[in-house]
Amino acid sequence: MIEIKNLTKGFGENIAVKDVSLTVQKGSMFGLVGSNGAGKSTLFRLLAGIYKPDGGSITYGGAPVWENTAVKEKIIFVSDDLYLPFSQSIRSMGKLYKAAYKSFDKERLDSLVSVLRLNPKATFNTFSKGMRRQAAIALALSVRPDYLLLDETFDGLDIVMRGFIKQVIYEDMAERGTTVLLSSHSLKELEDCADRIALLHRGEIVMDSDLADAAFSFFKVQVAFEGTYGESRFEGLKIRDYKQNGKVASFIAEGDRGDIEARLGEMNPLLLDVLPLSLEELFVCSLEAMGYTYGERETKI
Amino acid sequence: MKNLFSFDLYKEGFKKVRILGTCFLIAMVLLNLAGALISEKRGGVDGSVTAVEYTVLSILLVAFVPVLTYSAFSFINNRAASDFYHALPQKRNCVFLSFMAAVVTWIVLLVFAGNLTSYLCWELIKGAHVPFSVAASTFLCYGTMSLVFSACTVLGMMFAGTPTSAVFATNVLIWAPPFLAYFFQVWVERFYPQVAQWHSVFNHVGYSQFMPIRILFSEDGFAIDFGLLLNLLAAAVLIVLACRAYANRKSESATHSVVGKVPRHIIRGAFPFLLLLAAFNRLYEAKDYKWNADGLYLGAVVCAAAALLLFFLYELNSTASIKRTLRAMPWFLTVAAAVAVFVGGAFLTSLCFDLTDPDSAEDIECVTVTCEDYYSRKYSGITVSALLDFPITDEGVIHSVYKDFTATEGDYNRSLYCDVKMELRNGLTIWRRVRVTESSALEEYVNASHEIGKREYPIPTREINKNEDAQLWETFKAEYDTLTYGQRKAAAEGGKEGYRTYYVDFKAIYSGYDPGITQRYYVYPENMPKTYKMLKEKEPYLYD
Repeated sequence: MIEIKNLTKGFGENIAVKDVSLTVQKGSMFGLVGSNGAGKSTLFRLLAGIYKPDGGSITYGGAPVWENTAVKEKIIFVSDDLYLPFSQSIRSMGKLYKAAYKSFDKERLDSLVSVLRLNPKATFNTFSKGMRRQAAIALALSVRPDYLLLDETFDGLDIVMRGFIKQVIYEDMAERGTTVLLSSHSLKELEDCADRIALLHRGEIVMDSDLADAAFSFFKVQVAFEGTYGESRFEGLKIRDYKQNGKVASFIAEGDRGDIEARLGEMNPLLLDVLPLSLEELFVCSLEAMGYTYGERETKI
Repeated sequence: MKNLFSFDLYKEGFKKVRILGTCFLIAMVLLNLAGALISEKRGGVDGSVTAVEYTVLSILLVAFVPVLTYSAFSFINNRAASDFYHALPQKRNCVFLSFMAAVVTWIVLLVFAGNLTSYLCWELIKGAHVPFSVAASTFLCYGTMSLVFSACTVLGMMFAGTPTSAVFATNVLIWAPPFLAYFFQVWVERFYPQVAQWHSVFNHVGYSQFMPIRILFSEDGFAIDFGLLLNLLAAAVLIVLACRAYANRKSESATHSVVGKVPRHIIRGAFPFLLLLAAFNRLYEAKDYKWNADGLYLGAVVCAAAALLLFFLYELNSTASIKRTLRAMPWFLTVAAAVAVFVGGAFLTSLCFDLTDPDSAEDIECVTVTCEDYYSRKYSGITVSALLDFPITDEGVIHSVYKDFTATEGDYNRSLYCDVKMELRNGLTIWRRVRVTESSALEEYVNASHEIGKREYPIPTREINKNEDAQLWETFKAEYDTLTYGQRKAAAEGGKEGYRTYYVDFKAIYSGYDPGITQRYYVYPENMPKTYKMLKEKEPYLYD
């Protein structure tokens, strides 16, 4: 289990990660999503023991990660900014990994490289961006880590390879209880595979929820009443992103669906629609509520 | 040990720079071969090579070693690479030391290859024997110089996040210490001119001991001595500091200009400091050299302006912002204050010399005079360096030395100097530089000394030839034994009007001379009357 408690990290005046607390259960896949510059990559680097936190703690199974070789042996981090020197090849990088990680499995690397149809002797300057990413993932998976940190790793992979990599990861999770943290800009991708998702914005966790809970906790409501009314009519309900156009009001409501329907029904609306919210809609609403929007355009771009 | 070194990482570090290292190795062999073939040897009297021209080797190492070191640790200046290495399950000390060991291995290979090439060239092609001691000392000295360069490079890199600032930091670390030591010594001597340069603490830790000054500019650059040990120690200390700096370095420092406030202040101020010191130097000299005061004042202004410009340009390069550069300019005053502190420190150091000076000649128990200055030997009738390397208790000499010691500085008649070891009655032993004139009392003592005469012009160990006049030899020997240094010198070298007097030739065996050389002695009637009379009886028609 990974436990993050009150984690803070700043770079000069800029606080990249602000009082973040998360728990990632062993053998689960945790998705991290956020706005640009939210602090996702910084959080990953803190988790990998690359950055030293300014405050708070990160523990893996109770042991801190900073300068702890025993813990770091079990972690592999695939960065969004890959380190694959142009003059090196998969084979030579494999030797470096073997020198650094005791659990590195060369046979697994050979097998993965073969399936991915990569040339292990070719230097990385001959690889495309996608191939470099495939190589980085193959090297990482060959370490057979207990904790796999993937920062926007699937972005840049084609759909076929994405499916294959995910399959390998699922097998590791099932067989060895590997814990995976991954970040992506594609919410659809995270919806398909993550057990739990967190939304990060300006260094803070905005939302941290089990995926199933999220699907059953937020609803898009459209309701209409006679006469004039305002947001105050819905006191007692947890609502956000309230919009009104004449008699019709729409908003996001949080809570039990039955309860929401019952309470709105008691108000005798002319119209009532309660619809489930997609993850994307939920996150966009959450960020808009925090002021993260592109705003109104006055001129055509 | 496991936390400090990984053989696997060492191998990776070695492989990381193998292409560069191999190219340098080939260049080292070929260029040293060419250099050895075209250079002249400095030989000893027995035909062996006492010192080999290693100019090519010097230049190559000055260029190759920093580049090799930088290449091995270049990952710290790249975000992706820095993150990768910091994520490895190794202690940071282990990563650093393993890579450093790989760099040192390449350095040893380069130095060995260069030395071996020269050695073999001399021995096999040029037919001159290179004693093992020469080969060993050059290997050790070049190895030490390379280690110092490598240590300065890697330490500089730890405080820099870009290649430019790394080069800057490295050069500060290599060149600033010898220059600072030189200027410090200059200022101490300015306040206290009687510092015995070759026998004071400055001789052991002065600028001439710093690598590469020692090898490139010093005649004793290849000596295996305390100075070499100091450099080795310095290299070791710098490597340890670099290791600590790496362990504390933040991965996010990569691509930032300078890491840390203190290194930033040091690097931004180092070269302006030296220029301001030079400006201060000019101002001080202007008060002494009034005939060139205008030129010196102008020189001071130019140096100060250059210091300010350099400071400004460095800030502009680091911040890329005129506004922030102008905000940093007041720090220049800190640099000026540092110069004042530096000069003040030199003044205080000079006081330490002053405080241990004898108050009078009576405070001195004995003196030992040495003179290593080429010009003193060349122009002086004293020939002090040949004569006075042993303790003298003669009160007359001591008074004479003390008088010269306290003579006014700036007396241009006193262009000659000796270093004098004074053993004081209070138990202290001090070395001081004493300026003399050719007509000083010291010369009178030397010329009148029997003891010095016996040291410098001993009675020859003569080959006895049964045909030679044994009585003449015995008479000569008895009278020669009574001569002073001046008299013996005149006898052995001709002296005043030597051609107008009798002489005797003896087959003499001296140490340092080949057997069988005939040594001629001039016999003067005023100091060898009996011998002179015997010769006159044999040859009455010589000049009288």
